[in-house]
Amino acid sequence: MSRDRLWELLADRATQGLSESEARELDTLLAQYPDIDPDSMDLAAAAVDLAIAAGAEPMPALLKSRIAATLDDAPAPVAVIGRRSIAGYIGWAVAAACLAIAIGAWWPSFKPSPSLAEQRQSLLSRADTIKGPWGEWSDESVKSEVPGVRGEVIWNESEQRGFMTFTGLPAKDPSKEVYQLWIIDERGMGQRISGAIFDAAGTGEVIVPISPRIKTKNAAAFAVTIEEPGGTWVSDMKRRVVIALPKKG
Amino acid sequence: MPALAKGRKDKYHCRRPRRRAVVRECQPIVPPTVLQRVASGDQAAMRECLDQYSGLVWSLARRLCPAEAEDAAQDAFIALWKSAARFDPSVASESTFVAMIARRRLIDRARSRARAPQSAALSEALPAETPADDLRDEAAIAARAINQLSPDQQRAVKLSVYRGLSHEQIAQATGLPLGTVKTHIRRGLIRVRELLEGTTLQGGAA
Repeated sequence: MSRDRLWELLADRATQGLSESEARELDTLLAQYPDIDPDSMDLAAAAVDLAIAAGAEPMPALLKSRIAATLDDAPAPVAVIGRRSIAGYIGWAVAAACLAIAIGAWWPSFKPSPSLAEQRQSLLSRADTIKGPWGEWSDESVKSEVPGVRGEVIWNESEQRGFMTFTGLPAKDPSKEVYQLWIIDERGMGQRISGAIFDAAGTGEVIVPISPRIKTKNAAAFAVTIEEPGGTWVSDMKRRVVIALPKKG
Repeated sequence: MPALAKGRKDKYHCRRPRRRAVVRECQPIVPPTVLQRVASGDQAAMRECLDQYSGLVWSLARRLCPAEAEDAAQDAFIALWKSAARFDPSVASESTFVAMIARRRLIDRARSRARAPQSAALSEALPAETPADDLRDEAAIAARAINQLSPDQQRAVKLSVYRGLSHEQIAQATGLPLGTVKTHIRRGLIRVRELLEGTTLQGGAA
């Protein structure tokens, strides 16, 4: 049924893209069903992405500057201009000129974003930041899957952010499994909060930022588990790695 | 006002009725968003746009195009600039619109370069058990929708949307038939969209 096929193509486009022939087929079907919002599945996928992901990583300053310079040269509207009238050309030219002026006005004020190491050091210098070393997380029934991991966690409750460092944490294939950080606060283990999903470099020291979507209340323990790709909403905490109980000073 | 506007901090312009005022009439005054200002040629808006969304776009690029994240992020911003005039705050929040435009461009780019399984280091947060009350806007609704899906559907949607794996790769990883994977993803996204729109979409759920 064409309508079902339309939904299938919209879902495909939102998640894995379309071939040229599929894109043409989609255009044809969208023309047949004007009641269906062509962006509906893309918006749903974007919302899901935002719901799962959190704590956007700062864009490198040099890249930010490069993008600004590219926009300053204003090549972007060209592809759109191709289907426009002369009036459209003029509109884009005016917009490009305005953009060039705008970018020129703020270009010099760009400052390099601090690295994760610098951000961590800055947070560590604050009096209300707590820190603690990773320890092996094992008991009689469940042993740590990755012994010998070193490093520490630092956390600032008022800022609601922190950093983990690891040495000796082996890299994973993220299509098979990932590391996930859980924060246990005054609400207890039953309401543990996901703080990060991450992979490790395998060699050298790894710095991973912590940025829980849900506000913590007096975070007391930080535990790392191995979970399915993409992380999990509720962990059984059976695949343990390390745990830390950070304190002031 | 659709559910998408939940959480938006509108200012209100209030006007007293002409006779015997009992209840004030209040109309929201919504200032133009940064994308609307970019589209209108506001000179300061592009800086704000880059400052505001560079982290989001960069994170998406790192995840969906890890081998060429820098070029991909630049591509995505150009696409965003070209699409700014399409943004309609009554349909979606600005961050969702930005994510949509960036994702579409990044997915097309990855596809044109024969996508491979993703292996970039990540640091992303997941709400744990009751996420919806603590998130805002579409993300909160999407989180609720994800929680309503079956475990297989959740996994398929997350691997597809978040990991950027192709449907074939998900079928291989999960052992599910390709058609089932596609159905899980389609139903999952439709369910999210239903909640976002507050209506039931017709068709496509089979």
